[in-house]
Amino acid sequence: MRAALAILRKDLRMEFRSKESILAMWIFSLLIFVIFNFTFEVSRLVMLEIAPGLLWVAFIFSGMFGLNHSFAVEKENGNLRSMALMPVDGGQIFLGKFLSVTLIMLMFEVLIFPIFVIFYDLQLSLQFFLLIPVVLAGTIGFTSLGTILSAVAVHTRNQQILLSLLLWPLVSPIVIWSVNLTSMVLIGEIVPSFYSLLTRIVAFDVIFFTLAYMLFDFILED
Amino acid sequence: MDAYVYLFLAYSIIWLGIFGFMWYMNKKANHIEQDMLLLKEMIDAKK
Amino acid sequence: MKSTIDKILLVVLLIAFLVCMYLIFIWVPQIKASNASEQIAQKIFYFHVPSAWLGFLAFFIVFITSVGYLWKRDRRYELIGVASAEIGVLFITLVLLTGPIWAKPVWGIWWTWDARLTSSLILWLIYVAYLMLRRYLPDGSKRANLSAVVGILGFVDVPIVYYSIRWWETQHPKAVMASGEGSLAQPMFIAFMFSLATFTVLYVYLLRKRYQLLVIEDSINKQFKEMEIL
Repeated sequence: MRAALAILRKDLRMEFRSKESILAMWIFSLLIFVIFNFTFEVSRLVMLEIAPGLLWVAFIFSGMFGLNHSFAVEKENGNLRSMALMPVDGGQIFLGKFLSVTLIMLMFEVLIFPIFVIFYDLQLSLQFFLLIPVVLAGTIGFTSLGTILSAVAVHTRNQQILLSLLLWPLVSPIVIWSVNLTSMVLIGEIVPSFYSLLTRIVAFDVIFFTLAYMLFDFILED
Repeated sequence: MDAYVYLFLAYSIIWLGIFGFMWYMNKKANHIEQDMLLLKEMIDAKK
Repeated sequence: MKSTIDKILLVVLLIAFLVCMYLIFIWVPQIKASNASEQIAQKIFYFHVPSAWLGFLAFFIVFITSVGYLWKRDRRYELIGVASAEIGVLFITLVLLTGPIWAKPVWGIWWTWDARLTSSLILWLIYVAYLMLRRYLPDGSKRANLSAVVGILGFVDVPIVYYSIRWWETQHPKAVMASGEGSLAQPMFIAFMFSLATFTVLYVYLLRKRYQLLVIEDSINKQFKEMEIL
């Protein structure tokens, strides 16, 4: 547990000093929103239908920055080897990286959400608090798979392309469910299926977090 | 009856795919053969 | 020993395909009460569906060999996995190409985002990612480990993807391409089963051959390495 926290602390300290990741993610999402405004001319009603999808497109695309950055840094500093040599369970390293990427991504999401609300003129209601578990669960699923796949992709020359190719097909269930849940919250109709869907995302998270935790050792091995 | 054209197209693709894969394997086999000859030469040269 | 099995397999395969084509185009009785496009639909499904099933089987084998490799560190598991992945890409590519060709005359559309097609597309993407990952890594235990992890994660996810899209379909009623897999009349069922068996033999044959090539490549590379050391 200590190793994981040490890695988390190191990553967070680096991030808070430079704010590289969060800034890049935030600006990129901002750009996505801007471009979208030009590429699709839709009525307000249609906009409300599309908004949840747009939000998650922004999250996913920006999330890639965070994921790539997380391991690219280790590679640049020649840490890939040292991580393998640490007398620690691979799962700990996964946990540390996962936590740092997830926290950074969550912070980015909190920061971009107000922009999203303003740009698309969304009417906020108290039900918006229900977005918290949705975004949390969705993000965790994305970063669980993303962390281990990023660790895989970082060994190649084209880390970014390979990560996208590997990750996006695999996280499509998360995207499908999260967009639907977000849509429910934004429109304001919380149907009973909200909770069963949320459960599904959580189940996905548990499955892949566990798998990633168990398999991470093999990534580090030589 | 252009539905039959589609049918023909579909089956052609399937056959092309299967034979294409065999052709691909054949290419690999040829590469291996070349490597083997090279290896033989190297072994003979050592002798 | 090896090559006699292969020779027998090849002969069986050729005969099986000939019989298959006969069964599909001549033996199966025409459904009187349907139009031309439905009849066409019938014919393609005998090859289209077995391709899909074998593609999934191939991916399952990739999964098994991935687990096997991480467990036993046996190079053979890795090689069987690679061979199976390549064949899987072949079959799923055929599925993705014949699907739209089948759909256009029958349903008037090239594509629809239904669970079957979309999952096949995603399956294809995962296989391709698996092979691309291997292409961009130097040979060795690292590559074997990394591709095994991807093989495992990918396979576990595919049913989840399928299931989630099925659910999504209920939210967005669209043109769902029913593949007519409902109750099959007796002769069609036989023809289909025979086609499935033929494709299975094809898979086994291609797998053996591809694997043998990989093994030979391996031993030659090993020889080269030894020579350079000497």
